[in-house]
Amino acid sequence: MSGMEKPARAGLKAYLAASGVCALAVVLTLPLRDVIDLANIILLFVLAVAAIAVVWGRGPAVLASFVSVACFNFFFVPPRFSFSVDDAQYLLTFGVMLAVSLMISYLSNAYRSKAQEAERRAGESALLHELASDLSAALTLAQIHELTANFLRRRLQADAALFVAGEGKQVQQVNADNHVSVIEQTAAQGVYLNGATVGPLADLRDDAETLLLPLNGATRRRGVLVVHIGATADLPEAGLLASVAALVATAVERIHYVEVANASELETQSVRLRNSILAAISHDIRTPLTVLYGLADSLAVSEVLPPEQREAALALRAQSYRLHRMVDNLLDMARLKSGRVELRLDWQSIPEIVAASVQSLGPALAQHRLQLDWPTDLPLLRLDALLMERVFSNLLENAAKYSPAGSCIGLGAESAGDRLIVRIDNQGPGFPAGRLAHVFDLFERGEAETAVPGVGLGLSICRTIVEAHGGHIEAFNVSGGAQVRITLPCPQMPAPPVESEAR
Amino acid sequence: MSARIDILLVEDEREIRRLVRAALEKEGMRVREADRVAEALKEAAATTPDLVILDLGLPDGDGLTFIREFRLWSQRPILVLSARDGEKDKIAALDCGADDFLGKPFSVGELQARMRALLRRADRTQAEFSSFEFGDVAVDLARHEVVRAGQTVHLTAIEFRLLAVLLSNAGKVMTHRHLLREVWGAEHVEDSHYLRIYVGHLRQKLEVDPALPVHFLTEIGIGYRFVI
Repeated sequence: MSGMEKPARAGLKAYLAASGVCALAVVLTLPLRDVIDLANIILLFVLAVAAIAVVWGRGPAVLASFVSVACFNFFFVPPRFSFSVDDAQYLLTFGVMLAVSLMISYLSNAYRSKAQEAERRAGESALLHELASDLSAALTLAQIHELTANFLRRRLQADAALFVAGEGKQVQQVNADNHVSVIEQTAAQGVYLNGATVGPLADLRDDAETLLLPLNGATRRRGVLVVHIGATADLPEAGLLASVAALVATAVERIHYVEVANASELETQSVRLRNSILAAISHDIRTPLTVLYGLADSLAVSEVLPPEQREAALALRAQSYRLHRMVDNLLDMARLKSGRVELRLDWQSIPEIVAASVQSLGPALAQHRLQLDWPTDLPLLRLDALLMERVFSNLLENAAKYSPAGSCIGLGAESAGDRLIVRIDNQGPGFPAGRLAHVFDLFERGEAETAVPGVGLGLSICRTIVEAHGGHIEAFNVSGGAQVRITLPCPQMPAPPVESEAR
Repeated sequence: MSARIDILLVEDEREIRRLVRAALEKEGMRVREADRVAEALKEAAATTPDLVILDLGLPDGDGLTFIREFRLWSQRPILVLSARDGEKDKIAALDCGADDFLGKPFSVGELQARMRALLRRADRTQAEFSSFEFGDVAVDLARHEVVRAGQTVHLTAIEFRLLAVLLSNAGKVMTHRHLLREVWGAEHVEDSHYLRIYVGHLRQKLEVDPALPVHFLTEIGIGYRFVI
């Protein structure tokens, strides 16, 4: 990793050594100068330069090139022990000798750095492979953090913190134990939002430089890896840390998908459980209710009972019917709140649905007069008829419950652009002032304790169903009573059937 | 209901059986009971009941199995008692050949009224099928005549066809698909808005209060029932 720096750092020694080698070459060849041809002596000097280049690198080799040429000139080329040259052709010799020496030193240097680079890369990929295989076994975010931190400590003498995005866009430190620094948290949050590597920063920790690397997963950013490198350690290659960050990002993403898969498995199981519980409750509660209601009804209609006992039978019937409606509402609410409301939309007529609600409520509306004002040209709407029947049943039942016997319950509708507004009026005391916006909330009732039965589910069910249809429901107090208004989308109906009048 | 009427009651809840039996015996009917599909089929073959009251959720199988088997050899009415919420189950029962259904809890009076309507239709002779009277309306299907309070009511061809299908099946729940196929043809079984419009026309022309009909009744999510 720091191989590139070595020749420069070991400089002075190497230069001295290079000069020494040149001197040695002079001392060794000087006695032989009459025996060996000058051309071969030149080759010996070139050999020395090559050796220096291989051992100490380019700088010393360049120095050695010049020193060799100078020594050759001084000690061997006539006139000896002088830098002057008798024969001008030796100038060419010096030039070639210098050029060859320099080329050797450059080439050997290039080879050296390539070899060092290859060695460095091999070391790096071995390291990354080690980290990758460690991370592939990690089952939790905490394990990922530990493995990464151990790896960086061992290999780079660095300290690591892992920040992972939780709910929302907020990152949170994994294994946050001793040093949770607010600055670090803020910096990590910034990098998470920004997506760019930051650092090295000197001011996050006293004795270390800090790098913040975004963890980019395949689908989205997963968090931030914070690396603190001690002041005494060398700064690693940016590429290495980026690779580490990529490995950590993959591992974090894998954990995320494992969690998603587990959650959806759990969800499926709980939906199945909930549905079977609902079905069981539905059956087990309704069977005794059916018997209760039926027996009370038989008693109430038989003519053999004295009046007061007949009254009791009627009350029994009315109460068991209410209980039945409450069970219906509870089951409806459980279903509606259990997730997706599946609408079975069809072209439906509001008056028809209201008539069916009135029919199903039966005796519950017997004490009230109904006034239905439907315009003759009322359009059909795209509705789930069963669910909307529940809405009108609840609203009518409510209107009857909260208004005096003998009073009038009114229904009407009007078009407003691409919407239809349906209103239900009663002549009761109205909704409690100040609570109008909340009457459709779950378990909200007019007053905390009243003599009027019901658990406040009805209106909440109405809102859920109406909103599932893309509409909204509002409560008002109008002169002489209360009003509920339902606004529903009113799309263009397909062409009605065409028929000639001839018959 | 002059002759003794035989009813087969198929229901696995003992208390509900007791309740229904008491109500029907008071009407002078003879009631036989079964609490399983297999037993019900055996009983039906042995006694050829005039009407079957059937709970869909039986311990040894689906009530639909009974309906299919029974319909192979008998056209007597089947009234389904249903505690199930699924409209799909009700439609499936009607498609298999059930005539009507009654949700739990039900009033004894309602049960008796439904049974009377079903028995009346089943007992009609062919000749009787052409003329009907309800409220202040008289209909002669053979002569294409509809008279209300002495005045002839003009119906379009489609309106008349729809009225004829509903009257011929009085007391029986007719699913949307069934009505659409009978009146408009198989290619229109999904066009349920046709039905909403035309049932609306019939109510306007023949009901005393079209907003609160008493003859052309809606079975929400399932279809229509004509009640005399």
